[in-house]
Amino acid sequence: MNENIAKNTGIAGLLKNEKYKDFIPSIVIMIVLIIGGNLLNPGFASINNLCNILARASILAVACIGQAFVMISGNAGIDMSIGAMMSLTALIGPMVSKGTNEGLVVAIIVFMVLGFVIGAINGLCIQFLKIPSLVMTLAMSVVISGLTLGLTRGQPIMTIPKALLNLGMPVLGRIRGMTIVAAVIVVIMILFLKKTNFGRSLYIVGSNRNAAKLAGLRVNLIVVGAYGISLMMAALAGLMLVGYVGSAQLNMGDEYTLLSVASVVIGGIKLTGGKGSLIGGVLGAMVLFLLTSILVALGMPSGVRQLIQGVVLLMIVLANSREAKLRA
Amino acid sequence: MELVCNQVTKRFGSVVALSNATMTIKTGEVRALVGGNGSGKSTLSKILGGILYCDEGEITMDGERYEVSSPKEAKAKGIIMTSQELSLLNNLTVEENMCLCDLDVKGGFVDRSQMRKRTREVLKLIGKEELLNLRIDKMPANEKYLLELAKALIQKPQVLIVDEVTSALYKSDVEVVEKLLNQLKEEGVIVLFISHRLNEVFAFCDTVTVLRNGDTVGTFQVKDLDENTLISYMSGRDITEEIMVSDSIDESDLEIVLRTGKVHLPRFHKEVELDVHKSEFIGVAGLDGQGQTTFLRSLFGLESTVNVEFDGKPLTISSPRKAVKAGFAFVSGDREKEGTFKERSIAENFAVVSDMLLKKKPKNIDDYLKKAGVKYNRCEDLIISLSGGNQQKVVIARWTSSNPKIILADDPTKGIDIQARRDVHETFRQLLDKGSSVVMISSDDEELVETSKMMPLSRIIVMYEGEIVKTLRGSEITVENIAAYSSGKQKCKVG
Amino acid sequence: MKDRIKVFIQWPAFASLVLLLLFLVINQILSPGYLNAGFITGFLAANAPSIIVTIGLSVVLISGGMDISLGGLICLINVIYVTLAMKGFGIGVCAAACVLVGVLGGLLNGICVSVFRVTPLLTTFATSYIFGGIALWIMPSPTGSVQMDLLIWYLGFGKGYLAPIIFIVIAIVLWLVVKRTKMGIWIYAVGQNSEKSYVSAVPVNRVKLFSYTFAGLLYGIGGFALTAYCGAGDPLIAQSMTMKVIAACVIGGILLNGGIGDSVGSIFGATFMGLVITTVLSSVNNSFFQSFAQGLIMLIGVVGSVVLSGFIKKFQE
Repeated sequence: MNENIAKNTGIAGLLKNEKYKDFIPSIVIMIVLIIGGNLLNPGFASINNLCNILARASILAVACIGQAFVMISGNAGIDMSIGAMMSLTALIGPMVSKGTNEGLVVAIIVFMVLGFVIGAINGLCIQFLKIPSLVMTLAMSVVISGLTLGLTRGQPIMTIPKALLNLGMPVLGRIRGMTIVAAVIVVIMILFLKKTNFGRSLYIVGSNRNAAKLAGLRVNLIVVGAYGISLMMAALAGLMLVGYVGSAQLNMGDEYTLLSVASVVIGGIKLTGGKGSLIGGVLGAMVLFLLTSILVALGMPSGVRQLIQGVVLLMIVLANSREAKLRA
Repeated sequence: MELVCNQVTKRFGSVVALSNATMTIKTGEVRALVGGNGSGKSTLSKILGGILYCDEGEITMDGERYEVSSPKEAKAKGIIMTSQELSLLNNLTVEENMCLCDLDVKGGFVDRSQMRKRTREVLKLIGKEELLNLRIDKMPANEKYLLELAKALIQKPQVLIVDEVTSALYKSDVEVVEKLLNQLKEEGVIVLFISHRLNEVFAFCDTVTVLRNGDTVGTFQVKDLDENTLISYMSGRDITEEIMVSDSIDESDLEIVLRTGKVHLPRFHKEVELDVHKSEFIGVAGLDGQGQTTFLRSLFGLESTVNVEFDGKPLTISSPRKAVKAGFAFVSGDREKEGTFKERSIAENFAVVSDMLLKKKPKNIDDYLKKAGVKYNRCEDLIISLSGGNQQKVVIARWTSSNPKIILADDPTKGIDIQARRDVHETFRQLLDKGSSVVMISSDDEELVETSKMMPLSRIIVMYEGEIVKTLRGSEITVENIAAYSSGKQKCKVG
Repeated sequence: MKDRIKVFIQWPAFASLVLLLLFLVINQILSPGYLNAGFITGFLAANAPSIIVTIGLSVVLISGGMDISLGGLICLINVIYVTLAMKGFGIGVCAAACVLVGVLGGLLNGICVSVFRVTPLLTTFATSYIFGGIALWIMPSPTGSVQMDLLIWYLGFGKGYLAPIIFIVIAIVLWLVVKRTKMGIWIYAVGQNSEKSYVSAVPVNRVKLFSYTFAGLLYGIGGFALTAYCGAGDPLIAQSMTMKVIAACVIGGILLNGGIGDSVGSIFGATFMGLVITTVLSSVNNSFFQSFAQGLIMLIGVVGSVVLSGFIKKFQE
């Protein structure tokens, strides 16, 4: 017993502690990237540049929350419709708000509800009709993208509410508004996961669906809720995205589907579900954007950037997503 | 030929599944391997079959070191095992399944006619030629187990390991197996026969090796043993139990907690009815797949909606949630699948029912866990850091802390060691004292006998093909009686 | 006779066949007489590539795997073909290169999944970045074209029918050959339960490696067909294909859990998907809502096929 306590203190203890173990790779990679980035490209580690990277990572961090919820819910859950939902919100949101700050409040509410409803449809089909999650959400993403195209008639024109545009401006020192907004959302969602019955049940349900059902938990409700929350977060991320970019392009949020999967995987959340934390996903998002920024700063063409991202991802899944051996 | 195991040891994490197993088997010998659940007999057979590595010790065949790195290599050396979990695949045909280990090929393609021929021959051996065109997933358990045996025979074993194949077989099937084993013996095949039915050990085997909690107790000539001696070797104690006779209790005086009404068992097209009294222990006996599990699961709302009378009031159970809220608890023996949340901590595993469902956050988790006899370091540790038995105790403590009125337990002590088993039984007894009732299925008849003797008020119901064929009380509760009624003998001399 | 009908209904591809026929009938009602020679040749030319790729993916799915890297891999195949063609290599060399790249890509996936035991979804997720990245690296923007002979042959040979049919037939024959070897039975066995297969002396890792590599081979052939159809190089040409092909497999009755289904079913699925896209349709006039309608029909197809199969299964019991 005493031996064990000794083992769990100090840095070695921290490394062994299950709670923090999953974050170590992301944090180490981040430090390496910042130092390496500064060596290769002096000025990379400047506060201004880092805050800029942080701002871009904030959007992804919010999108990641949803992906994390779905993955924690287990059963190889994955949400491939996040990007399409972000595009929809980014393009139609400002139209609904009519460019005013008051309208923005309406738009936020409308799209959070809409996101939840579409996500819940995903969840319902996955839970009750037994459609594989990957297929269901992929198909849903096509439907959502089609809706976006139809509603914008291919040429999104809009005025973006000022409050949204201001998200890209520095507010606290060099820290951008959206970083703070993202931080608030992340903190709320972390508390939601840790303190509410729903959040704690989500981990239980994700860990073992059958056992959770036998324990009397409302498995279906919780899984459907997780998919709903996923697209609800995507809606918020979409509004942040259009505020940051400042103009509208078709499919502007699509890449976030894959980015969100990549960040939560880097952050140590497993497809088998039942474990992982939002912090991990946020750290993963920062790793991804740090990496991208360094590659951009080095003047790498986009193909090479993507290739390097792929290799890094492959290394990470090779390290942390292995299945059990056939022979023990 | 001679097969020698010398000091074979296997660990899973910190749990020693098999320690220093030592035995020698010679050509033409039928050797029984017996021991309770978790005694290491399956582990030993899996090591021989090439499914598990052994950590220490060595195995030799005819003096040559036997070292294999896969089931395929083991098969190449003539060691073939049947698997307790069945190795048959539902999406393949019978002949594909039978020949899967060694598919016939002609000119690069699979030779189906040859496969069919071989399959027909081996099915003739087990007397089930009619299975050739059936689908595996539609077959009853006994036929699947016979096929599993046939799949081993078709590979022409030199050493055949039969792991619990007979536990799901009918009497007539067992006779076929006996004949087959005798035939193999004459051909000079070594047979390692694993079974928990001791009468089979006495009937077919020459020698018996007893394992207990991973240790080898010893190897004996069957003809020198009687059943009681063997049982005492297996359990490590003499069987002189004090019998608490409960014959005299008049059941009509007792308060009924649960009146199940007629519960429909679709697979058998039959209905089962049971009244559970307050503070009563009901053991449910029977061979695997006689409807016990379906019956218990129906009561917990897992099959379809059922209407029962609970605590004197009608209750409709449409989901486990409703059942739990009404005061039911359900302990499954399949820990991996239905018990533990392996990514979560001991505390979360323990608190799931009381915290999330009944909104009563347990304050002193440590007290509860200690009372249930769980050995652990800190309750924040992951549950998989515990041994299997301790994990199961946490699962049971999860339910006891919710103060259930009735506990439904589906083979709750499957695969855990004797000490953990006793702790579980003790927990059930304490619940009975507090006024709860327990309905427990067990595939181990001895366990049922032993447990029912611990309890102040108990009876055993025996199920066969979807019916309760007999209720045993007091001194009627014996392993022999349970075994007799389980195999469908309606008229059996009691005593 | 009755047994034959029963076997036919139990066929995993049955639901997709019903859906396909239903869709054809609805189309016929909405736009009578659309099934003419021009439509059919155009349809074959455009959809042969995805039908071939669908057969490839279905093998991976039957073996219990998953592959979302196929879009990236096929982009890479297209880019390599066109780059080689622009350097003056002949059709044979270019086609061989396509197949080689496909096989190597599949092999990479297979090694990660079987030897290193990485979850298939995540492996191919990472490799999709790698394949797509290399494609973009070699060819940052759409450019170049294939040999003129190839274009003429693909669209004109046998009145436009034969070239796509040859491609499809090659793919089907390859699968049917595999299905009749030991490997064929092993693929189904591993997909159903890899542990039980391992115990039954099935070389599980080799089977997984084979299924990804074989799929890679078909992606190579499909990528070649796609390049012949488009006639030009585009590093993003097949990025949207992944989703369509997965949906086609699901519609075709192939369970993502593995072990169930037949590649023939996936052909129905792919045909259904192709029909949705090409014919959605003259009847949706507002062109901006066409992709919405396509998505919706695809979704209905996926849901319908899964529900229908489940219903048939339940009905039998």
